[in-house]
Amino acid sequence: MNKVKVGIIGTGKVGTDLLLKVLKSEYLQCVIFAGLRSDSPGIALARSLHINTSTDSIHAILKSEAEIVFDATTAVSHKKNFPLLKDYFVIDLTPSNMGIPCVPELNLKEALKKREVSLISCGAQVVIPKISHLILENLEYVEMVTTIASNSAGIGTRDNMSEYLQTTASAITKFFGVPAKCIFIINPAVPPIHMFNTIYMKYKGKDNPVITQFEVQGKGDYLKKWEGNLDVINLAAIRVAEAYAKNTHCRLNA
Amino acid sequence: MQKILIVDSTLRDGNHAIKHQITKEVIRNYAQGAEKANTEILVVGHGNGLGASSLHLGMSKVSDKEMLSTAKKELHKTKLAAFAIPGFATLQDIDMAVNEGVEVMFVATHCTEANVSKQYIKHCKVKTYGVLMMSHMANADELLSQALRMQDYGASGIFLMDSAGTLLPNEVRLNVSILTSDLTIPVGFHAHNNLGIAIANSLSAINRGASMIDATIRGFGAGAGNTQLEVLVALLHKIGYKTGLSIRELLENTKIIEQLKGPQLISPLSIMSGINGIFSGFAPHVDRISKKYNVDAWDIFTELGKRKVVAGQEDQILEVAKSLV
Repeated sequence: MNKVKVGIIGTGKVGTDLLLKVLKSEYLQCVIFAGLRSDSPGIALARSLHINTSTDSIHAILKSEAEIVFDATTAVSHKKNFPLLKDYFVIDLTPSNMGIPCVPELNLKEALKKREVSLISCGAQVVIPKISHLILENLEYVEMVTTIASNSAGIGTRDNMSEYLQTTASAITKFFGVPAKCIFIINPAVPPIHMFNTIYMKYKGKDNPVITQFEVQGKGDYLKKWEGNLDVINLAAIRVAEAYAKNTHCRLNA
Repeated sequence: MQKILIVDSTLRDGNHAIKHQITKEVIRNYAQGAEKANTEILVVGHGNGLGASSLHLGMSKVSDKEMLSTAKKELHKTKLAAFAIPGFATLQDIDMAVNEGVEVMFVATHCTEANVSKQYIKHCKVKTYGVLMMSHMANADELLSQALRMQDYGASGIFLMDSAGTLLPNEVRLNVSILTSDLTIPVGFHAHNNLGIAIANSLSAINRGASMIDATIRGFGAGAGNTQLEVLVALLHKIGYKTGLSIRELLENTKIIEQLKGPQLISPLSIMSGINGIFSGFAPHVDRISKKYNVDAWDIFTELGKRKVVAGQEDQILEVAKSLV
């Protein structure tokens, strides 16, 4: 089948790992990999793989034939990019919280009806599916604590910490209808720790919260195993894009 | 002789010592006392600052907003301050605090992660100090490069925190002297007394050019508590430093805190915290969980030390305890 053309803005860790995942996809083809920094290791890697690259960021995307755009920049730059991307199906990996918040396992179909899908945050992609498998009856309040290794917290996450906390908490509230709090901790230990999550769930009439703890390891495509948090958001992005591509394909064949 | 700025964190770090249960009445009385004692900066809030009231660390008895507004009503010359750790606090929390009359902000990160404070320090419209927590987990050069970042973002000064109460006086002297010689902004120090040298370390910091000390009345704070403010001020005055504080009024204020907690001895838990380099605020959580799972607190602290956990990783205590059962 014809692959659907995608563009990626942001050539940092997330964007580069995403590129490698797109290259593995049967449904997606990367036509442009665009960032700002010519010395980005991601750009160098993409060139070595004969991918069309640019340091003209969003402008390169607008000149390309991409139908799906992944934004792996920052919340602030996504807010600037967003008005320019009306004619594209946009998958936002920044915590800008502008599109429909999506956790593919829970609301993929609903999200595909929109032009802009927000993947909320890496923590949300890890924790929200987990919560959905726990007891939700009489749930009153949810709190999540995510700890990640220092070198898996990119500049985007660091510069957007406040948005990260709010966007993630508000997504929990959206999916489960209860107040929520998100706490985010960075640990610089060497060797790096794997992403560690604790979910506290408080139920009506119960004094003590139910505590669920788990670790996440990445697949290690481009990112390291301790960067499982980023791996998970990229897998969600690919899932949304492939579902969109399959839908488009069905429409074309119909 | 030189003036030393004393930052009073009694109503912030002290909240750790009573599981964040400080009441409005105590805040009111203490703020009145601080005003009388000529305190320059009074920090009020949950032990871990804005947005930290949580199941994870302990819920505050009084909300952030109410704690701040209660204190503000009593303050005129004394500046109200709040503490914020990006990762717990959001920018909205900071806006709320400033709306409630906070005139000084402290933005704190783990000592190697200063760039997480960029968004927060730049956002603050009031005087803002950068704080490097758990400063024993980085060497002096690393601390300097992190402090320079905060200076770059617009911090008015940098506080080094010995959050685990584990640093030795010579280490404090080295860290502070490197910072004071290369920063253009003032340097401060915040101690914990887990190994009994909070006062000694604070004096060591001053000896190497620190011009700000963060302290608490009766040492009321996490773990074995902080630098005992009234003792430090008495000592500084005896040496010849100026603080602008009235020692007599400070001694009056000890009575308010005395009612909340008896003398803060250096408990076995705090010593374990100090020797393993674990954040002082962990002790009550370790105490509770070690009893629940019937695991020795010593073994928990030793394992936490091996894992190099940082402030905010209190959830590791449960994980470690379960692994030791």
